[in-house]
Amino acid sequence: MKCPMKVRKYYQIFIYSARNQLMYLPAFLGRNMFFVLIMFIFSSLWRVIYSGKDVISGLTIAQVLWYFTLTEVIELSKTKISQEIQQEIKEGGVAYTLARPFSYIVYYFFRAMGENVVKMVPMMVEAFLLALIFAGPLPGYFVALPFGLLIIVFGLCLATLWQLIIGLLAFWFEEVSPFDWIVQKLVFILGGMFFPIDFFPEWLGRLSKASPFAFSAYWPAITFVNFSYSRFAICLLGQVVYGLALAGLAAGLFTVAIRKVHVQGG
Amino acid sequence: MVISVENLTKVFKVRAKAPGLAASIRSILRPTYQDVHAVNGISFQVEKGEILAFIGPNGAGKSTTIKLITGILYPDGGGITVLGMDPHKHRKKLAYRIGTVFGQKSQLWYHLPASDSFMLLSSIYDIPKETAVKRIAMLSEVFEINEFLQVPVRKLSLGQRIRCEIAASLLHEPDILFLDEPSIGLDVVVKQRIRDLIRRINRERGTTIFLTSHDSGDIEKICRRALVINKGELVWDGSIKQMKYSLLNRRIIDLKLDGIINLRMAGVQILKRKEYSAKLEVDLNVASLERVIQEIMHGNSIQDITISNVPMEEVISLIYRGAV
Repeated sequence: MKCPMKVRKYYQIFIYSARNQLMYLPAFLGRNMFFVLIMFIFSSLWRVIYSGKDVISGLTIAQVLWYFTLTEVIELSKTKISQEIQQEIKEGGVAYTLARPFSYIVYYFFRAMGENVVKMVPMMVEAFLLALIFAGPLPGYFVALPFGLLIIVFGLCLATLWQLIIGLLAFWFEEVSPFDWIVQKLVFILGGMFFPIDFFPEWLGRLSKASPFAFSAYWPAITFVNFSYSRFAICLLGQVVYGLALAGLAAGLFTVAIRKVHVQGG
Repeated sequence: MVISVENLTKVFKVRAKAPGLAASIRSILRPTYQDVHAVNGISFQVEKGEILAFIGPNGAGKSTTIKLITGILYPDGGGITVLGMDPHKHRKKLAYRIGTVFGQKSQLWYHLPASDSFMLLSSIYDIPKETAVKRIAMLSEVFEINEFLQVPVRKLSLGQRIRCEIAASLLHEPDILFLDEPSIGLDVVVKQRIRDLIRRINRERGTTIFLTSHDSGDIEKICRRALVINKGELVWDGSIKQMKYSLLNRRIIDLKLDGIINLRMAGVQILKRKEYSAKLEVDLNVASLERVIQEIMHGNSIQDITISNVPMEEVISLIYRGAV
């Protein structure tokens, strides 16, 4: 079946971006060897916390360690597309991108996802191996796998949308890394990047679980390690709703930004 | 008419900052801005199939004008119509009918072979695969890029890359091709090749060429008409030949006599003198060629004489310096 031209162009952008990213794969894999060290430190820490206890806040140590590796997969697979957009605006390359018959937002989304996938696949393998070594097999793993993979990819989509929004701020600000830093820390804290939100005080836990940051870290990871169809439905619904909201925000920002373009080097 | 620009204006707000640490801190707390009129009320028209040189010194507003015409920048005043469309309103629709090459920036994917970038661009321009394959084959032949089409772009020489860049911009068969300094950094042979290719595209396809270049050779050898912009204002719109005559009404006379030249005349400057040869520059506003030659022949016999225009390079240099 032939796909319509409009869809084909974004699919091709995704494919070529992934192929281009393959060139950086060895460097990426080398850089992520430090994940082994992180896993060792965190598993040692959690063993101390869990000493004498089988379950904390409804989760076993194996679930917490698997949770941690999965949130890290999303974080480490995420392409810093905000930096690429900023660079393009600073150096004037945006003149090419804006003169193309495609949506700037959709183009960058698919370009980032192409890069993300090339990073995510080996990251997943590395994470699964490390989780098996440090935490042992995850109960219910086989049921959770297909659903879990889907919401992890969706979590990566949300993270990419954040990156897009931050990148678009480069139309106003010369340096967007402070915004990136703020969003990253919000994902770390409110999103439950390092440990499940279930460990938070109740009021903060409720607030964090409803925040968009949780849907790109906590919800996909907790659904994977503590699978239930209702949890999967909540996660998917939240990701779709926040995904649409963030895409709308990105589109709105771009509409205003296009009037603010100040192409350098001209 | 393919391009119509009427009273076009673009103003950039640029942050002003005095030198020194105190001024830097002050500018963070209380930033001040100044208006830079990058394009200041310019008007011109371009006919279909023209090869137009758009020249001016650095910061004159050339690239800003191109970006306004291609819909990348939003104008602050005036109107633009390109192929019957408002470029900013119909940016994506217009993109199908125009091509751009910015010599200092690349549109090709760095790690992939140029052929991959061509296929991707074909998808972006909604060109069916079979048509894209045929067009790539045809452009590869014209631009003689076949032998390195499968080589990653990062391994290409600048000349090879620029040929690929121009070929890439022609995949969707645009009506207008905007070339922003396509020959920058190229050697003489490659420059000549690129010029031949540009002329060929114009001749065979009727593509309108809008060329920005600092290279006098590009301008003189490719274009028939020039638009000269300086400080955001259009200072010349006319034929290249006319530009030389009107903006710089001078001639260069290379002489070989049978004796030593001894000429003192208002409007005549001796640029070089060596034994019986001399090079003179005549300002036609002050002295006519006829009178100068009569004066030279007075007491000397001319063995050889060449009368030429002032080199294009000098015309451009004088325009840039605001001397004409």
